[in-house]
Amino acid sequence: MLHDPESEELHFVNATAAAIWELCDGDTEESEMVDAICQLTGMPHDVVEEDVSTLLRDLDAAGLITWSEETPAGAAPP
Amino acid sequence: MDQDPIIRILLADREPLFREAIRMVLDHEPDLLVVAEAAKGCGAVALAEELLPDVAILAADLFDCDGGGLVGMIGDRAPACRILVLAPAEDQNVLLAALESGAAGFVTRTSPLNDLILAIRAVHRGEAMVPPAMLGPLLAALIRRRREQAAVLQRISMLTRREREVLVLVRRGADSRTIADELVISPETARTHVQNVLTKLGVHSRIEAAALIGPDDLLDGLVEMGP
Repeated sequence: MLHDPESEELHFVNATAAAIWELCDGDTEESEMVDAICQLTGMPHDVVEEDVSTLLRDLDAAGLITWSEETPAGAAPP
Repeated sequence: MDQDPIIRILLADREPLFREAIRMVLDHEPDLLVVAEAAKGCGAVALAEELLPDVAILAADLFDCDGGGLVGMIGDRAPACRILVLAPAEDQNVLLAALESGAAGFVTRTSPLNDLILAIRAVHRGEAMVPPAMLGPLLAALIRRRREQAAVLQRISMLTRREREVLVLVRRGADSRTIADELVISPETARTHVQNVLTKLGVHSRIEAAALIGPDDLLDGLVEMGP
């Protein structure tokens, strides 16, 4: 469960989404997330790449991350 | 149906009472069958080789019997066996070590029994199984490890081919005399190469250089990697 302190909204996400959100630290690149998940699960790279990309877009749409030009994976809002 | 629907399980744990309780629960499931029990890591390896179970449940505290290579030993002797590590608690280091040794999943003794059953089926299906709360830190640790390896490779790429050959021998514990013999050069030349390697890697000793490379898998292709 993720809590957005600005909107006071609660977001229920699955374990993978929560783990990806934790990695959105402004430093970790999307490709690094994909590589780590591939290493852990043995899933095909293109499948993981698409899933992570979709998940990041969903987190963005929910206002749970923000993107910056210098930080490809975005960061959790303050 | 071509595939055997029963998942054959090897259960390895020090405590007989715990093993018996787990066996009773698992044998109650229509698709699970405990085919062997072991109280020690060495026994687990022998049984895995003999019976080729589908899934091995290994208590993490059995790892000490052979210096942490238990998962790898079972993987070598029963390659199709999926290994599930049973740990006392959510310990990131134990988890990382288990997965890097080839384990497919990780469950803690504090988990509900149903989690263990679900984990057995998941790893048997070919999935990786990690407690949800540990997934984020685990991915972060894997990313850190990859960055460290990339940094090491970056430093190694500054070495000449000859220096990489020397580094491989240093990693294997060779002294200057052995390096000289292996590469058919003089001991003085070997020492010069070693010193150049240490300088370029930014380390102060052969031990540091060997530790920097880490496990043997980084040695694969090391000599061929650059110019």
